[in-house]
Amino acid sequence: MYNYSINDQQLVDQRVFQFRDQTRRFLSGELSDEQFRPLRLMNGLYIQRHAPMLRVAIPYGELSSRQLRGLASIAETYDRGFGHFTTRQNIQFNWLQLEQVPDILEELALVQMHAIQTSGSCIRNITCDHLAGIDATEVEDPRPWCELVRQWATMHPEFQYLPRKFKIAFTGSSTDRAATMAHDIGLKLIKNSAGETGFEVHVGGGLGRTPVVASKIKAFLPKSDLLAYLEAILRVYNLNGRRDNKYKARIKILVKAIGLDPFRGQVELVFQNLDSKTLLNQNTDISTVRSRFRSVFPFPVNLGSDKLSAAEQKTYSRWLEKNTLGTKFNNYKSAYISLKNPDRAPGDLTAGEMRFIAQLADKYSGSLIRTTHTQNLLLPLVHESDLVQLWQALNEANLSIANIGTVQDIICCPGLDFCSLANTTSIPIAQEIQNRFGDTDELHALGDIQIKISGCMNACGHHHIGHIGILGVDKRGEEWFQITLGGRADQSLKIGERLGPAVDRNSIVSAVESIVRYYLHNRLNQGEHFLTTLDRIGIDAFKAVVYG
Amino acid sequence: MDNLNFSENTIAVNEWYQLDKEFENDENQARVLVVAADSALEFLEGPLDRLERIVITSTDFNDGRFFSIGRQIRLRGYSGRLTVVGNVLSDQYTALRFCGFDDALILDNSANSRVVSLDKAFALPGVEDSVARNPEHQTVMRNSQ
Repeated sequence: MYNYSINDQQLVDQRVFQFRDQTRRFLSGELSDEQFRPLRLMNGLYIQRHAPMLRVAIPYGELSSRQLRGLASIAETYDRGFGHFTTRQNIQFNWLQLEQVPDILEELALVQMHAIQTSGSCIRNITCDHLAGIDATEVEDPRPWCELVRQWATMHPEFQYLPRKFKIAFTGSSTDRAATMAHDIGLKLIKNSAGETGFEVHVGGGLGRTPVVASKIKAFLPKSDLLAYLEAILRVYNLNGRRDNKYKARIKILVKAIGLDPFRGQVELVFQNLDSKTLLNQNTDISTVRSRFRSVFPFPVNLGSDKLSAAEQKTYSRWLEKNTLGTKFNNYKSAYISLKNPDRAPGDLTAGEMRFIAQLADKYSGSLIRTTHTQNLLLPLVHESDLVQLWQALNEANLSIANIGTVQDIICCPGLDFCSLANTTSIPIAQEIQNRFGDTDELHALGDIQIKISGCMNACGHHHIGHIGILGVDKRGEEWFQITLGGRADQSLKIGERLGPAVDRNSIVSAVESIVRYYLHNRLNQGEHFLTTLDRIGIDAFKAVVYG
Repeated sequence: MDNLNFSENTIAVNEWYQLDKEFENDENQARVLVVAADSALEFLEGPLDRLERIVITSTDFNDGRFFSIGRQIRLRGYSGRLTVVGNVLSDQYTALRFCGFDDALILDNSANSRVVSLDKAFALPGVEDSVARNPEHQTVMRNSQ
């Protein structure tokens, strides 16, 4: 976990001061709507369907228990007692008053948090593999690099008014859990043939109306060149990205329009003229950043000896299998807390639950919590001897549902319930699908199937890259849903194929259920993954199931 | 700064392209180049050092190309004055400064047009506007110049 330096804290404090002034100028009429809009957006503040929505940054998904308590306090004091975790590892509050936002930002600053660049046409929160630093197979822990880039991108003088939003994600592992190939820039730590560590750089990925898998722009970038190369990409984009049509303004459109090789040529031209002395907004170096990361060890181990009843043992074993995984540290496991209970909107957490989880993190995981790309939480390091106690505590709080990676673990946008862009609801669809597969034995038998739901073509629910994707469309004021199959979000990122015409609100949940059950009955064995079955028998077989 | 008089002795970017090498030795030639923020950047190839001032005109504060144009001009080694004219927000002054601009001529609807010198460095883009009203608020340099 990164600890702020004095400079980091001053920056955040001053940003609060600045935004308070901007809000005051807007409310007094000194700033027009048009002028205030980019200023509020680059501080995470949207005007939503019901009220302003504030998106708070959780840089690369890492939270301390103190920060989670801070978020709980904001949820209770200023919102309706809950927050919503997003696919980019952030948290959103949906029911705020504009006048109160400066106070909220001040509270956030007290726990080293902010909402800087969580929205707007600027470099957004840096996201990362949620298993960074604990995955035994990773080349190098990407979090210090995320932090270096976060500091560089924060208030970067040149890149606050880009053609469109700009998202950067990191992974240090060959298994991509951060959807890096669906980002404007995806950075993967790799080793070259000489054994040196550097970055494989991908550019121009994204979802939205025009889903594009990122292209490899640089096979190996020395680590010391990271910020200069990012600056070069951003400058070429800032100068050449389209500004006449916001749907064609992302870097993916620019890369497609001029071609990858000419784009790479332009970037190299800028890059060659940059050196560490000319970089803007680079105020630190990687070793300083590394030194500010708090080591998680040692923390107290509780050595519980609780006995479980036979019934409990079965549920516990399932949780152990689905919701925990090994780490590179002997005797320590990571434990997921699923936020995909049918009783809650995917990714939602109440203030009481936040405090409870903060307490568990203090007791069992060195006061650390992580947010995942899939809108769940993770206690990164829990000693094996604590797992029973942890599970019991989670179980009592209804937070032990063992469905990570299953058909219930749905990624879902807020949809029409909150979002002013949405065409359809999405949360109720997720909940109905979750209820169709409520039987834990069946859920367990089905294995890993990722369902992703977006309530409009902006694709915040990542429907393009779900094994089963659902896109809400408006047809003459009615909610209809398009289904895609075969997408994937991992290192082999792939855009799903449209199954056929959209189905209506009454049919969508049954259609998904039919697809899943058809897979279940047609897979060769329990080990055959949904995508393998789909490849083997073809999408037409699934068409017949849904459309007859 | 007191005076930002470049209404005379200016050269438009299309004329700049047409100038030949003799320009470099012509003492009577214009010394101020005016470039729109959406211009192509070929003008950077010309003899920038002969110019006393380069003026970037902005019609939309939200079109951030002028920041990168400023950076490119400075990275080319240009050491004369660099000015932005038109629609920019006070919240952008410090970012402009960091991107190499010396001053801004603000033309806003309230007939409150004014020249702003950007030679004070502030901690954050935009903070200076707040600071001007709250001089007791201490700011800290985040970025060394």
